[in-house]
Amino acid sequence: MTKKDTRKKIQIRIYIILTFISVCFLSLIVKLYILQIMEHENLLEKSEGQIKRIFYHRSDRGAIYDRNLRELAVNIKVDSVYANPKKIKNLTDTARTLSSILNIDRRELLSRLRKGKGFAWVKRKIIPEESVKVKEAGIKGIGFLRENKRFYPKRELAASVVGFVGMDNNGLAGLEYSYDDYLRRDRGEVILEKDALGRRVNFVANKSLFPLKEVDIVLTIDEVIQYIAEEELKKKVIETGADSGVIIVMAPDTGNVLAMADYPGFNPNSFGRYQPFLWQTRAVANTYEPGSTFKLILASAALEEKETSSDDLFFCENGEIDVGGITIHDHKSYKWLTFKEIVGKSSNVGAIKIAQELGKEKFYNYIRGFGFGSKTGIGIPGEAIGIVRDPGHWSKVSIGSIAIGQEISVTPIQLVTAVSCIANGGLLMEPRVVKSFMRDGVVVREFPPKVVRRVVSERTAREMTDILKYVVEYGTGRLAMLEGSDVAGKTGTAQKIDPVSKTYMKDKFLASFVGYFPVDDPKVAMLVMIDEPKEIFWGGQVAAPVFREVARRVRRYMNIPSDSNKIYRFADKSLGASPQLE
Amino acid sequence: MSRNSFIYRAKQKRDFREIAAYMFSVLILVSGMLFYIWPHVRIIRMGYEFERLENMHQAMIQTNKVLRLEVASLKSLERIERIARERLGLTFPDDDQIVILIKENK
Repeated sequence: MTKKDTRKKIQIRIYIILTFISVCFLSLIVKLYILQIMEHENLLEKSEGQIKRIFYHRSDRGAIYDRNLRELAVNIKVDSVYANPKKIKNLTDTARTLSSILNIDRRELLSRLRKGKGFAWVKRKIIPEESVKVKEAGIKGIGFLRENKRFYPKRELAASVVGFVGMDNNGLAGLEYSYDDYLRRDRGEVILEKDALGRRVNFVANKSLFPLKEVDIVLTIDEVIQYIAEEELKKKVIETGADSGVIIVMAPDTGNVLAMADYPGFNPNSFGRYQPFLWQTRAVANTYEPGSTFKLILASAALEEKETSSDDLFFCENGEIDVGGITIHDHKSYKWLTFKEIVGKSSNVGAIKIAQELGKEKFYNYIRGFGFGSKTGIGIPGEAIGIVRDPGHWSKVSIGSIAIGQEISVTPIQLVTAVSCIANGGLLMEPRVVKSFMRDGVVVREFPPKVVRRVVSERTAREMTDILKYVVEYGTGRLAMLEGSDVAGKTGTAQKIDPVSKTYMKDKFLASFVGYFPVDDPKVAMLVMIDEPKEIFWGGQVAAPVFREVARRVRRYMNIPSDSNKIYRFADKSLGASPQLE
Repeated sequence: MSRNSFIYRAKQKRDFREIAAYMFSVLILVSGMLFYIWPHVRIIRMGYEFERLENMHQAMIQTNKVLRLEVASLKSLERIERIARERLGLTFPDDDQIVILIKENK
C-alpha cells in the first residue's frame, strides 16, 4: 500500500467520524428544538408538576381562654389511623387486632375495610396510648395522619358557653359555633420546590404568602367564679331534686358575664354521650315566666314615671283582687302596704294596683326599655327573645298578669341584664361574654363595654336599690343576706304552665332570686334560677341561699371587702411605705 | 545523536507546556463551574436545614401544647379543691381571718 493510499484511507475515516459527529450534533439540535421550542409549554408544566408541590397550610383552631388567660379550649395534634385494604394480607385478622386496640366494632371495621378501595379510615383522632399500640402491632397497610384535636381541659366547666366542635374541627355549639369564622381560618396553599424524595428544598421568605393566622378568643368568664357558680348550683339542684338550674354572674358596670352556669351540663370532650338538649346554653336559649322578680321592672317604671314613691300606701284588698274577671291572690292576706313593702313582701295585689296606676303603654315601654322582647346581643347561638306582646294584644287581665311576671316570658340573661341596669345607676349594658381576640399573645381586637341606653335615672336606681335592700333585710329574700355586705335583690316563685292543658300547674314552680352586692358600689349582679324544685319551692327559700353562698365565695375571690375583713392599705410604690390597718 | 537528543528534548518541553496549558484550561473551567454551582448547593443545603429546624420547631410547639394541656387539666379547680380538702386537710378561712390588701395610687 502506497503512502497516498494510506492518507486517503485516513481521510475517509476522518470524514466518516466527522459525519457521525455531525449527525449526532444534528440530532441533538433537532431534539433540543423539539424540547425547547416545540414542546416547551408541555414540558415546563410537567417539570413544574414534578419539582413543585403544593403545601397546604392548615391553620390550627384558635384557643379559648377565660378572662385570666386560663385555657378552656385548646388544640393538639394527634394521630388518625387509616388503612390501605389492598396492602393488607388478612383483613379479618387486621380488623380483630385493630378493634381490640382501638375499642371499635370489629364487624363495622371489617365491612369498611372490604368496601374501601385504596383508603379507609380506621379511627380518627386517637389518644397517644392507642397510637403507640397500633404502631407496635406493625400491621402492613396501616398508616397514620396527623390531625388537630380539640380538647377542653376543664371538662364540664362553662361547657354550654364554650360549646364544642365536630370531627373536622368545625364549631357545632356555643361560642365555638358563633365565632367559628374567627377561630378557624380557611387553609391556604403555598407552592414550594421539592426534591426527588419529596423534601422541601427552599423556603418562602415572604410570610405574607401564608394565610392570616386564626385568633384566640379571650372570654369575660372567670374560671373561678364559674366553678363556684356551677358547684353551688349543682349542690342545690341535687338537694332539692330540681330538674335543672341556671346561674348568671355579671359585672353590672360593664355587662361582662363572669359566670354562666347550667346544671345538668355535659362534657364537651365527649358531647355525643349526652342528650342534645343539654348542649344548649339555657341561660340565653330558654325562656321562663319570671314571676315576682319581674316586679322590680314594674317598680322601677312606676318610680321613674313618678306615679308613686316608696312610702305611698296601697290597700291590698286582704290578699285578693279581681282583674278582668279573674281573681288573683296574694300568698298572704295584706291590708295596707307601702310601695316598698309591696315589693319587699312581694304582694301580687299591690303590684297589680301599681301597674294599673302606671298604665299599660308606659309599663310596656319600660319592659322593652329594660331589654325584654329583644335579643341582648351577647353572641351565644340560639338566643331567644322571649315573649312580650304589644299592648294592643293585651287582654283585660294582662296588665295584672304581667305585673306579677306572668303572660310574659324572658330569658335569664335578659333578667340579669335588667337588674344590672338598676345596680349601675340606670344604664342598660350590652351583656358580653367575649372580651378580646388575640393573635400570638397580642390583643388584636377588643370588645369594650357598650351602653345600650339609659332606662331609668340614677335617682330611681338608688331608690330601687333601697327597696331591693329592704327585700333582703325584711322581706322575702332574707336568706340571701350576706354577713358583712349589704345585698339588694328580689325573689320570684313562678308557677309553671302545663304544656298540654295550658294552665298553671300547682306543683311545678320556678324558684328564682336576682340581686346584686355590695349595694354602695355593686361589683356583682347575679341571677339564680332553680327549675322545678321538689317540696320546698319558694324562691326565697331555694334560690336566695344559693345567691348568698355564691356571693360569699365570689366576694372572697374578688377581694370585695366585707365588714369583718381586715383591710391593709398600702401606697403604690412599696408595700411597707405607709401601712394602715383599718 | 546530539542533534537528535536536542530535538527530542525540545519536543518534550513543548508537549509539557501544551499539557500544562490544557490542564490549566480544564482547571479554570472546573473552577468556574464549581463557583457557579456552589451557591445553589448551599441554598439547597440550607433549605434542608431550614426544613429540619422547622419540623423540630413544630414538634416543640406540639410538645409545649401537650404540656400546657396537661397543666390546665391538673389545675382544674375541682381537683385542687379535692386535694386541698381531703389530702391536705385545708378549709376556707373565715372572713375575719382574711386581710384584704388595697393598693392606693398616690
